[in-house]
Amino acid sequence: MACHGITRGLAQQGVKITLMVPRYIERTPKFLKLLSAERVLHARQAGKDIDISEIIPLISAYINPEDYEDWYRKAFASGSPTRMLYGPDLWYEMEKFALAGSIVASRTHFDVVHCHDWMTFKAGMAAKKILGVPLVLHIHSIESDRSPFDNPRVAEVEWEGMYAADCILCVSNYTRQRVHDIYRVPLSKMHVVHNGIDLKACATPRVKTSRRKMQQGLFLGRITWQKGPDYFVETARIMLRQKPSLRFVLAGWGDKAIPLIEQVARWNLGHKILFAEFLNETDVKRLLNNSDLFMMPSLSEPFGLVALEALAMGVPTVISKQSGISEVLTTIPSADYWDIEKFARVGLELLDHPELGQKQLNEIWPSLEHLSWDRNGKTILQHYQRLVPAH
Amino acid sequence: MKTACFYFQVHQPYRMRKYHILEIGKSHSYFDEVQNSQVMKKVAEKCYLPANRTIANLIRATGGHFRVCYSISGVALEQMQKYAPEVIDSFRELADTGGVEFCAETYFHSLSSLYSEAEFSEQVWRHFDAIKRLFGYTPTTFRNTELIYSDHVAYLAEKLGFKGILTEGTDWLVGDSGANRLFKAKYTNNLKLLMRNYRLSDDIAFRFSAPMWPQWPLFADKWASWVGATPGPLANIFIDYETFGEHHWESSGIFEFLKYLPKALFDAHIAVLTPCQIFEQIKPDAELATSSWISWADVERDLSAWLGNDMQRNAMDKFWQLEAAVKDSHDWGLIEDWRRLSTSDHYYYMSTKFAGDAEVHNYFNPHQGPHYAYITMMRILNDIEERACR
Repeated sequence: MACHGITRGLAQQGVKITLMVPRYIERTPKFLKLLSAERVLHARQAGKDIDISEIIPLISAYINPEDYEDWYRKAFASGSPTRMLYGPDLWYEMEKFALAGSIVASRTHFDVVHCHDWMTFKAGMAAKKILGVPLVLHIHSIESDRSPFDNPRVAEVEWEGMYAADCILCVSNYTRQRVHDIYRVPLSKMHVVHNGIDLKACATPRVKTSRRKMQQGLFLGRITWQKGPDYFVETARIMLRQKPSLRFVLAGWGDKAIPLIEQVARWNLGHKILFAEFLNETDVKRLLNNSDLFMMPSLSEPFGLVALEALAMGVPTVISKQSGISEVLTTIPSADYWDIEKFARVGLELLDHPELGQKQLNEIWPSLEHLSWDRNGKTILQHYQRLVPAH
Repeated sequence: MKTACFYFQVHQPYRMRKYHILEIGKSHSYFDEVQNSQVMKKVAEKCYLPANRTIANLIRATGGHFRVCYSISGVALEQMQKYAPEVIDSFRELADTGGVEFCAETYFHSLSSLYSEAEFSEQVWRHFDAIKRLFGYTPTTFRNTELIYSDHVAYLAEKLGFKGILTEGTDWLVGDSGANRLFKAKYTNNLKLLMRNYRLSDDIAFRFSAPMWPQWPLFADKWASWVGATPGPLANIFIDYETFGEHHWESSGIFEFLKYLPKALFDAHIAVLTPCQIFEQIKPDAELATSSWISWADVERDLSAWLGNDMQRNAMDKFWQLEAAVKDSHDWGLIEDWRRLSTSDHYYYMSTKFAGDAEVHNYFNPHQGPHYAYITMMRILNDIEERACR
């Protein structure tokens, strides 16, 4: 999502990009072709100036090594063709991606290598070594954001990558400070590039369907430790005590989903706190459109793009202070993620005064315009130019 | 002389489809028609039709001395009519042999006996009427969903005019003297109870095709000798009908077992009667009372298969909370949808038990798992509530 915006923003600045995508795409013959080094270079033209070559498919950056092994075992047992394409663990995948990176680097010339999050750091380092060009790391999140118990090997890869990098771009001051605190990377090497928002796609103000009587509070995102879904349901429980007519929806899935479903059942609130499972982008928009309150109680949120999207649609929003987005949206009500009482109080207030949503939107509109991907691309280009002066 | 009594349960629920969160308030189709028709057609072909044929032949061949009892849930009857009408014809043919008894049960195979007397009576009468209409048979025996029973069920059944009830021969309840006798339900005038012999029943229903079982392979004469050796005058064999051909495939030899069963029983001097014949011919020799609920499900043989965890209790709670609002709406489509959700299977899918029972629960589960079954049900109940409160 963010990578899409960043590459588009850069392309608008006239930068020519080759994007290696570490993503599993369910089209088998393509994978098989992609495994050969010749095909790696066979880039596919897609849109404007973006040259996307889907190299070795890996799965999402949010997977942890243990889950990957479990997933791989299941795929292997089911006899799916996956077993020929994927290695037995995530580390092997990362090495394979790095190898593909070095192959690409040895065939083509680039001025800058720009990597996003730990899975791609090895590939970036390999490319830097081969080409002798600056390495830029883009930090969307770090290991301690994603998991309550850091995986030391992931942390090691992160540290190594940051050590090798010439420039590190963080999505918020919050993240910049955390990287500094955890990995002791000098602040001078790190810069903040706030994510943008696609106003055109989002700015479809909510159509309030008059038929719906029930007010709805929403949680959007992976149901994992990092996103604070347990604080969301605790808040919902408090709010329901005061206003039993409310309904809450958690859209998304993750390792916390099953325990939270059981928790909600224990409270006998399963009909009030609904789980929507994973939704596609269109359905997320429709669900936002149906909602009267968006709450983002993330424990550690490097940025929090989703809150911007909710706001742009005019959905009243409360965010946690532990999110990067609170740096740019200073007028939006925020609370410490653990302060469920305050979340509930502010939430109820916003529900009682729906006009506050529009007010919030009006207040932040100037800063939203400021946060375009176009501008994001400009800033990144400035950093490139600083690193590669004679261009 | 010893008497064996065979009763087969025939049931297929309306399985839910994956109901999307955004459909709440918009779409009111909750059930997976494609899957339901596929399952019915498959089971009809593998079980209902061949088993009915076999049993009809056995009744004719033994001159009516081999007899069986069926309970076919109303939702199964509906789906047979819709997806496999030949099964209805085949049950009619069985009814015409005169060697078959049909029980009454709750039309929707529900747990209404625990929650609402009004809804319970309505569902039982609806089933009673359906059996009368389709097979020209007037049921006098009652069996509650999954053999769920307590003194309260006895009270309800006698009130509706039934002569006897089929239920589970739970060890702790029947005591040392065993389940193989005819009981009278305490606190009723003359309501009789037939208790399932779960060992002999499970030999056929569960262990029949298990090669690791020391008694495998099981032949009809061996099993009949066990029946003969059990203490007490009765042996009540109550099993799911889908045992024949569906739970045990044809290749396991289950139909051969069935074919040789009457001869093996008669050779061992065991008579075969249906429940209503037993109620007429045999005098009850003990009274039985239980305020605790029993059933034939899982190892616990209580209500824990449907109400064993928080998700099940929450879903069931919410479901019955909606009864008044749904009925007050006088929207018959809504009432029918709500009733279809009363089917016990929906709550059974939410069970999170481990080990052997989990295998059985998962075998039947159309959802990815118990939690998915629960959250899907909760979305649907939200739509039901919106419709009811409109």
